Amino acid sequence: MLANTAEIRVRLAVERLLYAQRLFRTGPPFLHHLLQIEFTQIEHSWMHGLRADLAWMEEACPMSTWQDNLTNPIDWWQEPTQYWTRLVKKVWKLHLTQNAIMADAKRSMRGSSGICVQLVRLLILRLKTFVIGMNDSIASADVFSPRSVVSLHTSARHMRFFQLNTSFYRDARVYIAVSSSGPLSDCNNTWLIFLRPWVIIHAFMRYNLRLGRFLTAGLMKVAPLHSLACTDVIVYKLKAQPSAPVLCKIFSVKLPRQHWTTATGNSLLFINHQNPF
Amino acid sequence: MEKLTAVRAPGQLGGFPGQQVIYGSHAIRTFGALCDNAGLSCAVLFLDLASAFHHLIRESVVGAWDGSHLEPVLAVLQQSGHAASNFQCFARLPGLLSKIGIAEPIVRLLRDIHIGTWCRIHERWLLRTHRGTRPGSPLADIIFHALMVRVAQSIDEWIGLQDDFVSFMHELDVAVPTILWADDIAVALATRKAADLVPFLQEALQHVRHTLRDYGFTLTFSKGKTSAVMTLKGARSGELRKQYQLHANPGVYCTFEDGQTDAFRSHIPTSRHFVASNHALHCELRSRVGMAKSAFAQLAKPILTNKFMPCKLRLQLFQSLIATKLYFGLGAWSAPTPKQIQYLQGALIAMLAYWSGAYPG
Repeated sequence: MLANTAEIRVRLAVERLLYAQRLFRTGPPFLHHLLQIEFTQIEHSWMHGLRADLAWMEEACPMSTWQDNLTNPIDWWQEPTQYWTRLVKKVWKLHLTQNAIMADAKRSMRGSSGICVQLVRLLILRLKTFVIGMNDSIASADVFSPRSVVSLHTSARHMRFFQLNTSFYRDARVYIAVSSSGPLSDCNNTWLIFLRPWVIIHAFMRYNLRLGRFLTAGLMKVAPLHSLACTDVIVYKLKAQPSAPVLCKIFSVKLPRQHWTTATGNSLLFINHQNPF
Repeated sequence: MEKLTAVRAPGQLGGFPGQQVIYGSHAIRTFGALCDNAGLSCAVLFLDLASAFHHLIRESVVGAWDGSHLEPVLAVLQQSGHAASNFQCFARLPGLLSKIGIAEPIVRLLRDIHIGTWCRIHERWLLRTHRGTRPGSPLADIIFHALMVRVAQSIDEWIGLQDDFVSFMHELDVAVPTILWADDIAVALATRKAADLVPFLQEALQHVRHTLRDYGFTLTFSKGKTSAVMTLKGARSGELRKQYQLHANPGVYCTFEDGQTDAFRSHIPTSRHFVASNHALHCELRSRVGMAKSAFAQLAKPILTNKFMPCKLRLQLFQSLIATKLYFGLGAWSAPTPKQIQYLQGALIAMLAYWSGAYPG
């Protein structure tokens, strides 16, 4: 993602949603009528585009069903309030954030820079199983993210976005596994998180997110510990920011498979190429 | 302006609260799309007034106070070919504002504003006006909009008398009034047969010119000024396109009532108002990209790629100075094709790549 700018189609959607409110609030009545007639007679009319934009907005930020019936949003737009503008801008920022994460992931997968590349190579190519020690932790925005113009946003702002129940997370296949011996509430101490694709790994590491929010929002699927063997597994607890050499050292530690379930502690990290699901 | 809102013409947008210039172009594009869909030939007549604000006779709107200082105005009008008899009545009549029902105190207030106002220049000289507001006064626009109310109503009344046009507009369940934004006027017209379109346009132009001259305005017919964007459909449309559009000097000569002959141009494919004759977006896209690139070329070296300025600031400047030009009116676009989106995206990425130093030029 370049310069905090989304692709044109999304920009068009955002501009059209903002324009629609202005149009239906202060626009001339004859234009409203023209648009209604165009909507009924022409297949790719402006109103059809508006409906598609509303569908996109709902997907990004689920609130209500608008795309089937335009009457409700039109009534809403005619009220003198700024809430709609705020809502559209919120969705725009959410989209930019998701784009930033995807761009980071793509860049790191391409092997463009730094420790990120080394980590990915370790995870995919060399290591099969390893554990991070009890007192170690993985969390770093600076270490993992490549230096680029993308890093214009702040982690605090991003944390807000990740609370939303969006299809983005469902598509990213986020799973969480907790120890079969402990209750779900213990997940603050022991987290086994299956992540695919890499985008979420970076999202978590980069923005220092609290995973408890995902649990409460019902975004993560809980799996028993014995089913661990996903392609990409990361377990971590955010405590401090380790340096790159420390991370490499951590990743080189190997642990036999039989010790997986017995491993307890604050932070764990498993890697296995077999897919248990 | 609040008082005028109640009596304004439906298509009069400029100067009124909440109105945007993009509403006008959106309405015209939608009208064109509907006519295309119905198989009608349509045209949009864009009118350009010569120095509109300077040709405004204030007495015609607010009424004359005592008739003094009107003689030089009438002399100038006579010289420019306007019949002075049309304007003699200003000294007697109460003015347009009174006729459209504006309260007498407001009319008197506006009249006072336009008579004997003054301003100070360089803290030394005092400039006193006999008629008209002081230079730069925002109040000057009010009476201009008041006059244009009457102009728009007059054109709409004439269009309402064209039975054929009105009947198929009723069939389509569509009504597009004359659209005005300050001194820019657009008149949307349509006919069933392609052959009828040019005569109808000429007729409309005659009436509009006559109406405007009654109020002291003059139309300019030079290249890029008063023009019509025509969309010809149905029988003989190919032949008519060759006759009026597809040659080196597209346009039609009109002979007006006073014997004067002027040519108005029927542009292909677009007018300067970004309306294409096929009602597609490509000409607007091209002009938007052109404007953005031109602005970028102008600002790139001193500001946007200046490494001594913070990256965040340069990015903000890019968004506000360049992206706004590229995206102006984006919300009113109907549905760009994937190729058009790709074209726009390509232009944006090229500029951003240059901005970030990825490649020079």
